[in-house]
Amino acid sequence: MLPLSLNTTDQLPVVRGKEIQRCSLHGFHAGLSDAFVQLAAGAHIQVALVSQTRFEQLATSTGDHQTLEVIHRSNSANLHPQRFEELSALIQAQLMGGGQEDLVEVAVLEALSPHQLQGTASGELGVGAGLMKDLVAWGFKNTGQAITLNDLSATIFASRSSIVHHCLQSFSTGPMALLKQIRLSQVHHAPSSPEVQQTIGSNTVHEIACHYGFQSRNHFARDNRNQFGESPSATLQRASAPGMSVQSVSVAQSPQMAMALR
Amino acid sequence: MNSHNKPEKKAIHANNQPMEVAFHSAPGLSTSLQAVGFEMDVAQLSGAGSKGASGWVVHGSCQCCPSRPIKTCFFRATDTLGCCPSA
Repeated sequence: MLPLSLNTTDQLPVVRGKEIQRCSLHGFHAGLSDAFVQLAAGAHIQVALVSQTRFEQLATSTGDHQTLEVIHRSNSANLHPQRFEELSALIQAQLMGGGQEDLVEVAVLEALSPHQLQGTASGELGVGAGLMKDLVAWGFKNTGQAITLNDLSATIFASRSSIVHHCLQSFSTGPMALLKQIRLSQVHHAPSSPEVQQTIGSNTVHEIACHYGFQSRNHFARDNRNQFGESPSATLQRASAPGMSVQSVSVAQSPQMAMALR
Repeated sequence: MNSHNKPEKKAIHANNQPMEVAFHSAPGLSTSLQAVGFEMDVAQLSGAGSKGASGWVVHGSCQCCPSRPIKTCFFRATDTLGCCPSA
């Protein structure tokens, strides 16, 4: 599948370390399978998933071989504003339950045609973005342990100053705080997830917090309140309350939107 | 990891209908993305409590799913926790 992500808001998410442009399309590089995205608060994510095979067949049948090269070499494209509006309207129609999906594929093919494009980006990670991607990946893979900056430096093969510099630049927070936020997210989720509780063998907030490297009740309570604005017991209460969960719910809202995957 | 909702994933694979969700937590967004084939870890960035999230970091991969219908599908998710960015 080719993920096609649109940005139609004033918010500019950061995709693979680079702030994206307005009227742009992202995430379609056929050779990239990983994602690293930063979304601003209040983000809207809008994605069309198009069959790569069908898209390639369409491009071949219409002789748009150069467009195929675009999706094989690039991950982001700045579109002609008119093409962008057309594509956005077609996707919006699909989300509202109408329209023809084939038209979206045709519109993408036309929008990505080299003579229509106003610029492309390969999606290659810069040094800083690559380092931050490694840091975040490490954080998610090692949620059960706190780590010192020295050990982190040795683990992801980067200097302490480089890690701190790029982390502050990318996330406006230090690496230790970022890793803690990742672990706090795990603790926050666990009380509402029987599967997670079963996996880690814990079902009280304290046990769960310990599992994710928070040994001190007081420090954890403070960090949890700073991150989520509530006490650990309130988190547990909310998680166990009928009808309340972290699952997504359907909404009907006019799309503004934006996104970026890969 | 923070994504565990297999039933929702199966649902969208079976129906292939446009999917529109609101999320107010990192696992909520992760689960929604999983439903359309993205194995993503999501973390909320410095929430500052009642002020809501200041942002989200998303990391992961596009999952190749042979059983997925080849029909185009559409997805939109909205952050309802940080709906007031200036807060």
